[in-house]
Formats: sequence, C-alpha cells, structure tokens
Amino acid sequence: MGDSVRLIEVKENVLDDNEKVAEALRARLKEEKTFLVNLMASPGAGKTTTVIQTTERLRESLKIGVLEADIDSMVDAEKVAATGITAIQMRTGGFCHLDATMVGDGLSAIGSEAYDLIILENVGNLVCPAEFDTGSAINAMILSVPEGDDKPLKYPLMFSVCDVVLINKIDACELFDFDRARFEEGVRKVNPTCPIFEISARTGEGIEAWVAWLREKTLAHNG
Amino acid sequence: MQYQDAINFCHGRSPSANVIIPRDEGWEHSQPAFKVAHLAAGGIFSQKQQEYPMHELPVMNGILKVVMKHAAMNNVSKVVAIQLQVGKLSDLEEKWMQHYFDYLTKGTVADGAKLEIEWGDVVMRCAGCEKEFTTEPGADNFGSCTHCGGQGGEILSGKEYYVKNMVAQ
Repeated sequence: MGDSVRLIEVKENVLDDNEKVAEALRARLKEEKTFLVNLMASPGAGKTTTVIQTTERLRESLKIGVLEADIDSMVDAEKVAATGITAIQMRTGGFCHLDATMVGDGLSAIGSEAYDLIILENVGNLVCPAEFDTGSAINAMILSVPEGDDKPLKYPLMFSVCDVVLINKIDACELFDFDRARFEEGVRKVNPTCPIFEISARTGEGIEAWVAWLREKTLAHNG
Repeated sequence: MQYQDAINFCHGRSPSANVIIPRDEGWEHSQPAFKVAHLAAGGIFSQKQQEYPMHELPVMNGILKVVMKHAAMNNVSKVVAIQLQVGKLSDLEEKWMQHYFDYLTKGTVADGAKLEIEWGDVVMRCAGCEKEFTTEPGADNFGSCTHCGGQGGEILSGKEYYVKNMVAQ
C-alpha cells in the first residue's frame, strides 16, 4: 500500500529568513555609518508630520533621507520632498507591513550610504509591523492622544519591540481624557526601559528633546 | 496567480508589481516582495470577505517554505499534518491560518495537510527581580511578576512561529 506515516523533526523558526536578511542589513548599515529608524504607528497618528518636524531640526547637522511606505499613493513622500528632503515612496499594494527584503530594496534605491540618518515610515498599522524585523538600528512608535491611553494593553507586541515611544498630539490631552500615568504603566508592563517623549508635531512642543535623543543615538551608531 | 495578483483581484485593479519605487525620470523599478508557491483564484479573496488579506498569508507562506524544504530533504510524498508552535502574542487566527494554508498548498505535497497549533506561552523576565515568569495576554494581571508582584519586564518568548514536526508519508 502507501508509504507508512512517520514523524519528521523540523524544529525551524518561520521568520528565520527575514531575520537573516534583517541582520545582514543592520551589519551593512553599520559599515555605511547610516542610522536607520523604523517608525511605526496607526494611520493618522502623525508619523509624516513628526518626520517633517524632525528632519527640519536635524538637517543642518545630518544628511537625512526618508523612506515612505504606504499601501498606495505618493502623498507622504510628496509632503516630505516638498520640504527639500529626499524621500522615496514605496507602495506595498495591500501588503500590511514591510519586511527586511523590501527595506533593502528601498535603501538601495535611495543610496543609503550617502546618508547619516534614514527614517523609514512604515505602513500605518499597530499589528503586523511589530512582527517583522526591518533591519533598522532602532524601532520607534508614535501613539497619538486621541487613540487612547489603553493601547499598550491591546498591542503588547508593538510596545515591547520599540526602543522609544512618542506620545503625539499632547496638546489634546484634556480633550480626550488621556491619562499619561496609565499609559506609561501599560508600556512598562512589556517595556521596562524605553524613553517616552511627549510631543505635539503640530505645535512643535517637546520635539527638541526627542530630536536631541535621536541625534545622540545617530552619532553614537555612526561613530 | 501570484500574490500581488491575488491582492489586486481583491481590489479590482489590474495586476501590477508589488513594490514600486518611483524615480524622478518616471522610471519605475519593481520587484516582487513576495512569491507564493501556488495560489488559487477566487473564493477566499472575494471583496465581500475582507478588505485586505491579513498577514496570515506571508506567515503561512513562510511555513510552507520550511515544510517544502524538509519534505524534499526527507523524500516525502505527502504531508499529513504540521505541528506548529505559535506564540500567544501573535494575532493570527487558527481558522484563517488553515484557510490560507489550504490555498497555498493546492497541488503540492502538502496539499490537505492539517495544521496542529500549540499556542506558546508568553514568558517575561521581570524588570524588578529578574526572574522569568509566564503571563497571559489580555488578562488583567498581564505583565505581573508571579515571584515578586512587580509590573513589567522583557518579553523572552511568545511571538514565535515555529515548525516543530511534520507527520508525513
């Protein structure tokens, strides 16, 4: 009759492939002295506005490039490019996050070695991007006040993989009953050490402290 | 039908490349971000069911790649079942995982293979006492150290997609 059924040991991690590509990318960027930041947040949290505020303050001292990733449209890249910063738009066409291979393509397209700092604005999504290593030096996420102070409890994975958290739209705290202490408590459950910066990308409040931290990290990485 | 074609089918657009990086001169470079072994048209990718395919798809494709590699290594003629460990922090749904997997495996040696999923615990290292503890996502006491009662720590385990074994002929 047919072959007998047997148990075959596999013992393999599914995301290993992406991990390998991500590690190789990190090593390459270290050699190129390019600091890659993977910026994640929900749609509308203020990623692009924060990117523009950030590049505005750092462009004098650092050569900055921006990789925009969206499901569709060139809106974000156009906004950034209008300020005079080189931006490349990647359109994923439905894919909900970036993986290391796609990021590698973007870096080659922008010519990453020419830059000190590259900000990768990931697809607006709190779920999938957390699972896929992009090869970045650090992960940053933005949580905007209107989204609510309970989000760390709902998206533990996202908050756990971030090296820094920005609370945006801090000028709207009262309007939305955002409890800063409750939010931090939720973050600390899964991330004991990441700094949390309160900013308003619209008014510019708090941006200086975030930018100073980012500049320090960039210079430390690039040596 | 390639992965991108499946997504475009979902949105009613004509097939186009996955990652488009526009250049000043209007030249577009594209490279498939994802290839799938085999994807059947229609059914699961109807517009009524959902707006975007969830990322069960790339993960299931990753599982398929691992399975096909080991099937080839072991002269497998048919994969009956695949024993997976998926961390509890994963947002994937069991039903959809099997659903997507069934479409990906049509015509391959893994056609009809059943996914047997063991949900891996979330293990953290306490920020306070540095001991490891298991904690349940979604529970009120999530992140509470069972040794010292302290809140929070580093996540050591709970986000994995791990193929343990396969049952095959």
